[in-house]
Amino acid sequence: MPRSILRSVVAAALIIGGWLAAPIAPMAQDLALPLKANSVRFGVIGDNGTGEKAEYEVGQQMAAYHEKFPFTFVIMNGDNLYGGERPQDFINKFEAPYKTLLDAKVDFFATLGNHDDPNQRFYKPFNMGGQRYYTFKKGNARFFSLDSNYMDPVQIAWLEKELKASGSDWKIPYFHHPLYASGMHGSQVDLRVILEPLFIKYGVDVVFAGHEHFYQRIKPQQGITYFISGAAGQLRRGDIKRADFTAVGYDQDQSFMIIEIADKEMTFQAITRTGKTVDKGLIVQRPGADPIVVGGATPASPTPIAKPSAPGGATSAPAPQPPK
Amino acid sequence: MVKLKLSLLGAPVLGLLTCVACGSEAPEKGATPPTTKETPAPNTTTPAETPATKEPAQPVSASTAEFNKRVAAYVDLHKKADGQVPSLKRTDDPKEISSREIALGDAIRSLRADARPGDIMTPDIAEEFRRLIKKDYRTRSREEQKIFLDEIPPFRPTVNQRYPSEWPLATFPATLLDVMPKLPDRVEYRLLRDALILRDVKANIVVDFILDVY
Repeated sequence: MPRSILRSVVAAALIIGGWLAAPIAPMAQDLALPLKANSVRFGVIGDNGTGEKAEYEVGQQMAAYHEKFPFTFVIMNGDNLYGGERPQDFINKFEAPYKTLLDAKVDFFATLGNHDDPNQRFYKPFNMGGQRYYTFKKGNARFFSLDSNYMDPVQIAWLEKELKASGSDWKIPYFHHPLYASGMHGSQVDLRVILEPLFIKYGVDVVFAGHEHFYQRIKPQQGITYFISGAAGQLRRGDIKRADFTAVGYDQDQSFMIIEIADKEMTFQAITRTGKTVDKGLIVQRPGADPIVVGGATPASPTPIAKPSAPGGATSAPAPQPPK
Repeated sequence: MVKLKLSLLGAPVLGLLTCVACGSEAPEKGATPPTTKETPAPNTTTPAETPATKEPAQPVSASTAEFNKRVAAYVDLHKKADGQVPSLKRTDDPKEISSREIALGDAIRSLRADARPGDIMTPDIAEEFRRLIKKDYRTRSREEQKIFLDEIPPFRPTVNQRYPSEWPLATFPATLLDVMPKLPDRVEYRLLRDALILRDVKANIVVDFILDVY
C-alpha cells in the first residue's frame, strides 16, 4: 500500500476513533411544555446527592433540557448529599453535577432529607436562608420547603400561618417524605394526618416529595396531585408496587421533572437521564372546584408490579441496607 | 389498612399550648430570607421572623419541669460555647460549615467534659419517654414497625460524640413529637435502633441518650 494512502487511512481511523470516544452531549429529545410568555419554569430533583455517574448524567440531561426550556430554578426534594458532608462532598455531589446549570445562574432551593445534616441550611447555593423550612415566591406561585424529618408543632403552626397569608394562585409545598407512595418506604401516614388537612383547607393543588427512589404521580387525592421525584441520583429499580392511587410510575432509570406554570395551568414532564419522557400532563385550576388533571405518557418501559398494597397504606420493605 | 390517627389532628395545637421550653433561635447574622430574583416577594418570611404563639402555659409534671430546666441549662452552655468560636452563618464555602460545626462541637465538649448519660434525661423523664415511645410504637402495625425500624440507624450512642455523617438522621414521627416536651431550636430528639438521643442541631453532637425505648 502506498505510504500516502496508509497515512490517510490512519488519519481517518484516528478521527473516527476520536469522535467515537468523545463524550456525547445529551440531546433534549422531546419537550412537552408550551413555553408560554412570562410563565414560571422550574426543575424538580430528589434523592440526587450520590456523586455517582448517574447523578452527573441526570445533571447533563437537565442542562440539555435547559437549552430548550430555560427554567430559572430547581427545587430539591431532599437527600442532597449522601454518605458524608465533607467540603469535597458539596462539590462532588452538587456543584460538579449541576455546574452547567449553576453557571447559567439557575437557582437551587433545597429541602432537607433524612440523609442531610440540617446545617446544609447555611450553604448559600441551597438558598435556604439559614432555615430548616422556608417559603419563597416565583410569579403567581408560592413554594413551601418543609422539613419533614422533624415536623414539630412550631413548624406546623408556621406552615398554617404562611398558607393562610398567601394569596398566590399556586401554593406548592415540597418536602422529602411522600404522603402517598407505593415503594419500599410506603406512604407517610403520620405526616399525612397532619399536613393533608392543611393542604385541603388552604387550597394546595400540587405537592412534591422524594424519599422513594423512583418517579410516581398519584391520582388526585381530595383534589391534590402528589408527585414523587426521588430518582435524580439514586434508583430503586422495580420498587413500585401496585396501588390504586398510582396514576403513573416509573422505576427503571434515574429521572427528573420540568414544570411550567402559566396563569391557572401547570404543565409537567418527567424525563429520564437518557432523555425519554415517561410522564407528561396538565393540571388546570378551576374556581370553586378541584383541578382537572390531564396526563399520562406511557412509561418508556413497563413498570413491573410486585405485590398489592392497600391504598395509602405502608408496603413491605426489604432488609435494612447500609447507608449510602 | 393503616389506621389514621384522626384524634391527633388537634395535637399540634395542644402541643403549642404545652410548650414551655420553646425558644426561637435568633436569625443568623448576615442571613437573608430566600427571595426570588425574578419576582419581589414582599411576604416572604422565614421561621425566625414568625412571632411565637403566646398561649398560657399548661401545668407540667415535675419530671418534665426538671427536664426543661436541664435543657435550658444546656442551651446556656451551648450559647457560651457558640460565643467562643466563629459562628455558623450562611456561606458559599462548605469548608466553613464543616470547620465551624466541628469547632462548636469541640467547644461544647470541653465545657461539659464530665457529662454522663442521664444528666439531662434523668430517670424520671426517661421512664416517661420510654412509655410514650413504646405506646406510639405499639399502635403501629407490624409492617409499619418494620419500616420504622429499617430507617433507624443502629449505632450505639455515647455522650458528646459527633453524630456520624454516614448514618441518616431518622425521621422522628410527627405524631410522637406532638406528645413529647417541646425543645428549643438548638436541640432535637432523634431515634436510633434502641435509643432516644438528644442531639445538638448546630454542633451535630449527641447531648444525652436513653436506651430500651421500644
